[in-house]
Amino acid sequence: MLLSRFLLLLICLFFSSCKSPKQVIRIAGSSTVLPVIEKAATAYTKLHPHISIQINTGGSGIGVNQIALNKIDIGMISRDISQEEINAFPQVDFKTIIVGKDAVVPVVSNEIYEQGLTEISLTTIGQIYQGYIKNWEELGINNSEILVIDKEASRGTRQVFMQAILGDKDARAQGAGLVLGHNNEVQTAIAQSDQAIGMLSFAWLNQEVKALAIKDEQGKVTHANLETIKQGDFPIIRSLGLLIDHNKPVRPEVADFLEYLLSTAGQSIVSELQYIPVNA
Amino acid sequence: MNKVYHYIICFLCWLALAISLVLVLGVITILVVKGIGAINVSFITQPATNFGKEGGVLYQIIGSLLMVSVAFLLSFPIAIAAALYKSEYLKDEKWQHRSDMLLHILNGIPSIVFGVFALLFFINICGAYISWWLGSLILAIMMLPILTFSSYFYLQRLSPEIRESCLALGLTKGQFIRSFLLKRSFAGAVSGSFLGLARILGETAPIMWVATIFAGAGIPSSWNEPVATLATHILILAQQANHPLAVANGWGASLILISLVFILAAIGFAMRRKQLQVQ
Amino acid sequence: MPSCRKELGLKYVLGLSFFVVASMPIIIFLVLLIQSKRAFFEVGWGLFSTTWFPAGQEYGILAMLYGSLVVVLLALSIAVPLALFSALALSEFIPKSCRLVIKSLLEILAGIPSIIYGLLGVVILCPWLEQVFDISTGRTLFAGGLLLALMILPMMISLLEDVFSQIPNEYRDNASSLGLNKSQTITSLLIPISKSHGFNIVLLAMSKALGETMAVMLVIGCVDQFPNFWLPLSAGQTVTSKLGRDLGNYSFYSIEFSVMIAMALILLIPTILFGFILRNGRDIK
Repeated sequence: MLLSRFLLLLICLFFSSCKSPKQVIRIAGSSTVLPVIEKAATAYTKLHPHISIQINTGGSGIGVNQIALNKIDIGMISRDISQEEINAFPQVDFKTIIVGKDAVVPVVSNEIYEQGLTEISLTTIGQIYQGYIKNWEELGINNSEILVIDKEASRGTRQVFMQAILGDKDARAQGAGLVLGHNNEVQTAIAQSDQAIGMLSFAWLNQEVKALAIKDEQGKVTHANLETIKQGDFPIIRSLGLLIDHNKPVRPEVADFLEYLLSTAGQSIVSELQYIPVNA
Repeated sequence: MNKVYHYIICFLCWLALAISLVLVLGVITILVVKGIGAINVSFITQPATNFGKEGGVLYQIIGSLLMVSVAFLLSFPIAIAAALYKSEYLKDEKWQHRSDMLLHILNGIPSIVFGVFALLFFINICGAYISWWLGSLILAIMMLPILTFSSYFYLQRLSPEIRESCLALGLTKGQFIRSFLLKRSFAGAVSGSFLGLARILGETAPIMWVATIFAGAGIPSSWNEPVATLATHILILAQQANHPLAVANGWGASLILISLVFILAAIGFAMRRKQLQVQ
Repeated sequence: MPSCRKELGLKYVLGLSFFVVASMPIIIFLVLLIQSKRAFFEVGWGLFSTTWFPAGQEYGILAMLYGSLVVVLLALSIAVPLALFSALALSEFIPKSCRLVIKSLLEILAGIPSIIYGLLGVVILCPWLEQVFDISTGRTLFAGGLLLALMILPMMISLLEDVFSQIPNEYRDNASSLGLNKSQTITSLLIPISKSHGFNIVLLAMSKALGETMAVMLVIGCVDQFPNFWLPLSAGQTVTSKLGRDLGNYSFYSIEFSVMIAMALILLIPTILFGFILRNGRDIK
């Protein structure tokens, strides 16, 4: 009995010590857009302490679904919304606000990169993901099995990537050795392995995760860097989008946060994190 | 032949025990050594930043404790009431068996199924937002069987003479329950509570869709807010396992979680042992 | 009389609480059943195909069921003999004082939350498997099986040891006076006596292993394909891992979501079965 009373007291103290509840902005979706929103939210809530921003991840698919179910105010997507999704939710008027641009790059473990594989064609990647090419020695590297890292089917990064290499955003990857979710997980797996290939957002590259340049049919090689992405030369580019439901009134704090993201301050966060700002 | 057989069996026993002990001690050593390396005062008193790679786990500790305390408050009275009914009013043998079985089933339901149910029922069907108290609710449901059984068995061990003397003194059933049994059922439930709390403190699956989010959860200031917990934080860190900082923080958070679980379980076991001795 | 109403009032309040508690499992079952209706009626036998490809309208969950089975059988085949002989060693060869210390250690391990085992798996077990077996990734069904074995081992040893200690010493004295040495006592006396209890304990461990999510979903590889039977050293998928990772990805109104709910319902079946079998209630300590 004493225990319960003590706990009740603790809980009342928690709530009484807090001031009036904050206004909440709920955001969920793509793990690619997540770092931008997270950093912007931290900065924004410092400027507006009465606003609290709750961010969840899970992929672009979740961004779309949760907006449709009216569970969130802003959905994050790293791909275009599909016709099926628009048809599946007729009561929702999806509007996308673009806050940046990004590329999806094929990445390999740095051991593979250092052994000489620095460029690859989209068709070859397609063959690897479909399981036709299984060993690195077929590409001129040492004899080791290719660890093909795939992503969950609802992830925006995957859909953009699959569209580019196999022409179908929902293509099956029979050669997949691992299926991961978050961009963080893919980065981890590529870094931990010495024989892996995967798909990653350009902003996630580091020493242990190296991007391959894309070689097209004419033999022209395009490296992934800020310039080629900005100019649109790199073949796998997508926009970082924020979804809202235009059928419902947009609350002032939500509109204000969106404006902040498109402002100089917000866009500087975008470029800080190695994405391309909208107006570049 | 007998001798060879004897030696084989003895050897297998010792070998198995040795392997098991190596595994057990190995796990404990890894968790303690790696965990201590990551824990310092700022780890416990600072909130997490940069997806958990930096900062501490202050909000996570508070969140876990808050959610678990409210779960306890929610399930405790219901479990005691149910145990009292089962012990004092339920005279039908068949229903005793059936309720036993139902409680065992509830106790054995995997945590992920509780999580699925919570997502389905609270978020999708009832339309709630992600809130910390939903986590408490589903955890309370998970604690019910342990608490109910704990209280019930304690009541059952009451000697029949005491019951008869109370009835002989003219007490009605209600008065008997209120003045006498209530306190006893509390005592029985409390030891079970600590064990139940030890279990739900580390649960991730039931709450990960209904009470926690990836970033932006601080100390909740109202009912409709998500919360950060140690268990879900460790999950997030485990998915960034190539960053040494993330892994180090993961070990630190794990050690804190295990210590809390251990303290609760130890109290629970000690209380239970005491109860068994007293009776 | 007022006190009569009070009596009735108390009875109804307590009865209501009892009803709430007892009906909880039924409510959970019914909610899952209703939500999985679409899966059973629209997909039907298609659920038992080996291809999971929602974009192509294929909702086969056989790969997940198979993965769960493989992982659990692997865990049991490692943990059961290990636990049996460790428990025998503890009860027959180890003095009582040591026994208490070891059992306390086992209790500690049994209480460690599963997400921490998951962390151990990702950071230590999987890289170790990559080195030892020279495979491209340690995230395999084998890793899942090993981790589950580690998780159920302490509980099994502890419970089995309880069973053996509860066999009265006079049985052992009678056996030795008949000329049996220790190991013969073990094989011809102790093991046969504890068969039914041992069976219950194995069922309990199996139930726990089937329902384990957090540890498995981090180390299993999550590939929704039917792996090669002879090579549990490839990535796979279990029912719990699929639920844990992908449930949030599907829209509430979609068939995929309903199929996932059906999988959760299937997870409930062993729990209910074991509830019927384990009627004696010794598993709640």
